[in-house]
Amino acid sequence: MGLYRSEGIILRSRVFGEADKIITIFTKEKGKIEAVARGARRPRSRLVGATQQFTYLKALVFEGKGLDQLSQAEIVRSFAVLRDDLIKMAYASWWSELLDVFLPLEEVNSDVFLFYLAGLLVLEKVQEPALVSRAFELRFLKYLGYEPVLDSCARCGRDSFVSAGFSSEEGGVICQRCYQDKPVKLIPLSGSNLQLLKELYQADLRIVHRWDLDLASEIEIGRLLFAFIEYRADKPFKSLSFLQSLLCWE
Amino acid sequence: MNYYPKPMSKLIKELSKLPGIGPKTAQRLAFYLFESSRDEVLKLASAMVEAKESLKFCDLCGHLTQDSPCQLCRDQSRDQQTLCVVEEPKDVIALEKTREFRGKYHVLHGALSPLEGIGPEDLTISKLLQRLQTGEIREVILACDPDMEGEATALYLARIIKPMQIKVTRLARGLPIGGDLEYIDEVTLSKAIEGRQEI
Ligand SMILES: [Zn+2]
Ligand SMILES: [Zn+2]
Repeated sequence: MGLYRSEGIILRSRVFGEADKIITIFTKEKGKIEAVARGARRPRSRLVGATQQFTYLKALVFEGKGLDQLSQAEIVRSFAVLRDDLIKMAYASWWSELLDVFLPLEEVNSDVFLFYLAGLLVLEKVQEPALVSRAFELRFLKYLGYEPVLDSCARCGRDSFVSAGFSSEEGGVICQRCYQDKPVKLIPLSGSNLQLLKELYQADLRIVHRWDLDLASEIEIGRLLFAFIEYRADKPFKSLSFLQSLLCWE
Repeated sequence: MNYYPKPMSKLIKELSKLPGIGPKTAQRLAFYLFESSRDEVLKLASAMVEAKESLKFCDLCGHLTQDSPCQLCRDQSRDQQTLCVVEEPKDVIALEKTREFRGKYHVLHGALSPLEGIGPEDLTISKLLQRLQTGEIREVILACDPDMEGEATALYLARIIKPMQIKVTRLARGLPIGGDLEYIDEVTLSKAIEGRQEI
């Protein structure tokens, strides 16, 4: 009970009742929290601007018997660019849903918070966000402990091997020998794209957008990571279907 | 756990499904109905059924109507070259109340939502494009809500309509009339600066 201060980023904002919103904030101090923003859909409310999707805010939250309430909010960074550009909005929404799905409520995770903030700052600036997003996805999987095995065969562990492809079920690349032994459902992954994924792991989020990427590779590694993440989450992501419809990957 | 006779709890349950009605309000409404005359209750019930059964969406613009095409679509005195795109039928009503706009409408029945996965095929966008194909429309006014979903919808529509050589505009975002500048939030204020006009 009582008031607490926290800073965080709005992962999602849902309409609630006549004029309210329920917002999910990923905070530095308390992890993911949910709070009601009373009157936040009224044009004159002081909470209108601060409760927009992707906003980085300083919040004063009242912890009551029921849902927590956002009582004051101050914008640290509005991230308006992410709402003014359709493609960036689609990527930022996908990241938000990723965090919202995988992170439990009220579990402090300041590393992920800082990483997410850094990711949004990069996304704001880049023209072509595909590789930034792949690097973000890989890094986030690592934080979750779902890091895909890329350096050795995910089944037999051999590190000098010829890859047959990627298996979501086995959590990484599978060697030809293992595959012939016992076939599994594989997602195609060329040798050069396997190398690209490995490099993305190490790469600085701020520079990967400068790397060359042909559309075929973008589609192959994108489809692979999307499938792996959906397999891990055990559910489809709504924001992914939106993103893919914009990217025209068909 | 159930303190009410069955018909009463059933009524409360149905009422609390309505938007903006919580269990307490539902309970108050249920008692109010119980205390009303039989005639009053029947009038309300039949008004609900009648509205449900006689109303539909206009085949052309998607607005709520008894007959299709709707009155607004049939009205030849309206500007036939300007089309205002809105999310919901209630937005048509809101704009009509201003008496400022005399063109035609198109109702999308929702907005694109990156987070809910609502894509173009879930709205009446293909119908809108069909209407624009006739070449009669010179200007499309995007009157989407000023939230992220409205923004996504406006950006998407502008992207596909502009190449058709049609002027695309959107409602200005800015200060509420009678507001005090110091109390306006930063986002609204920066949009207002962006959309400033020469006087
Ligand atoms: Zn193996
Ligand atoms: Zn009509």
